[in-house]
Amino acid sequence: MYRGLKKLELTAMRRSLDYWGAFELSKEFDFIIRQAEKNDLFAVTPEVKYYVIGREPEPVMAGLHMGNMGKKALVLSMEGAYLVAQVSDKKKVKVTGQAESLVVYGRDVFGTSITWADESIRQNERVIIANKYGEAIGIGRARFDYKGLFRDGVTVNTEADMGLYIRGQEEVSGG
Amino acid sequence: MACEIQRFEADDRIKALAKKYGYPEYMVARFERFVPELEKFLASMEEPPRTYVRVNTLRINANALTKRLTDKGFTLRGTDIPDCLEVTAEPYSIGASAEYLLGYFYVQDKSSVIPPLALGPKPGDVVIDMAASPGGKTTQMAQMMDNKGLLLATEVEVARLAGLRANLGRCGVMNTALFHMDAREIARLGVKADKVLLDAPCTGEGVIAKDRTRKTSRGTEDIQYCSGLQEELIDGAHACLKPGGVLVYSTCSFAPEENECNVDYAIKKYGMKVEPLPYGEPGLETFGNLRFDPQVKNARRLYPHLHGTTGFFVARLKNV
Repeated sequence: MYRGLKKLELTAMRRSLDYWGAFELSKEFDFIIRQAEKNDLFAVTPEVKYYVIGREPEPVMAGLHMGNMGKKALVLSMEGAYLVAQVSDKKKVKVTGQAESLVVYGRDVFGTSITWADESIRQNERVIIANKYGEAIGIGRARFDYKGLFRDGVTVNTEADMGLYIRGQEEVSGG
Repeated sequence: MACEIQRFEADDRIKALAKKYGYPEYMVARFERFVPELEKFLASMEEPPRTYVRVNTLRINANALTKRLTDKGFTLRGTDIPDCLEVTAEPYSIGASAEYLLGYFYVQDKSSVIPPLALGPKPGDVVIDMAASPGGKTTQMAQMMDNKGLLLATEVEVARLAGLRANLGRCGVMNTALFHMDAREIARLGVKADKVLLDAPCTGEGVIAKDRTRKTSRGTEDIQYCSGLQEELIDGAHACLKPGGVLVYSTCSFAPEENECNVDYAIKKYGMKVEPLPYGEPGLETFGNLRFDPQVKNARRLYPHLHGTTGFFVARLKNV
């Protein structure tokens, strides 16, 4: 079932977007929740919102999947990360072109591949992994504070990446 | 009632061509009745199809995309269709590039870009895409609607939903609700649409260059089956179309029973009008024993040897 956001969910979504420096996205789009075992958050047009809430038969998807909406926070999807990275550099690391082609296939990030990082990043925080244009190509977790991110070895663990799309397709097609 | 399948005798020339290019004789005998320059056509189906990409202007413009891909060693050139580029050289599969994963383009044959252009959805429209997977035309229509308004997409095969969802997400589409349902039951959606796209399931004769097994994997019974299904889908489309609304009907088949026959059906059953389109060759007026309404020639056919595309059929029908 699709429904609008409850007050606590709206607060959690805003807080999460603020973590990424993208609070204004909460004002730019309409949002709906698909209530299930995990609640999914979608960014939609006003027309889609009006049409799908309470609709039978229920759509399998409506709008852009922003992530999973927990009780306290929004866990961003890659589509959500793309939107966030378009408006903010907070909690972001940028990597070289060579590293880009590895990250999109799920590889972790080496410190020597990072060309820029947000100084507010603390150890174990979630970060957006971006290419040289600042576009989100992955979501990861920082192994170190800002100053340690550029050292030799893996400094950011990749937890999600754009290439999941292709790998998912291969699973579907049996390839 | 679907059209009767037309059958023709194969003379020695047809038999020789069928043998040379690996087709059943009946198929070449049918092609011979309507395809201009038959042997050039058959030869062109042996060549690898060209690769085209449609720029996703929701995320990037054609110049910026061309620059980024050129920097990575790809070579592209413009076509007569806006935002549709031909890939003339690729150092690796363009579908493995980060730009693809970021949804900056969709790998989509030029012929396949035409049905949404023929439909012309606008930001304020209510639009239905009746057989949406894998999502090339759906994402193109969302782009033409500037990601605004309401686009309802349906797909009946559950195995094809995952790819469709991924493509909608990859391309940043927000104005679409996707339903797992048989498009023949589309009236259940409870809307009257301004525009409906029916890119109908078909025998796929037009994509033989991509999939050679289609020369022999489909027979006349498949044409008969698809033709009947397509008629039912036209019934479904008409049921949810506003007065004055537009239906674009397309297939990637050459078979007139899947194309002109169904347009003729929509004219005769529902009084729909076929509007002219500025692409390809005119629709057929006759095929074997079949005689079509004169308006059917306003539909368009695309052939690989004439248009550099996969085979395609498209018609724009107005609900008057």
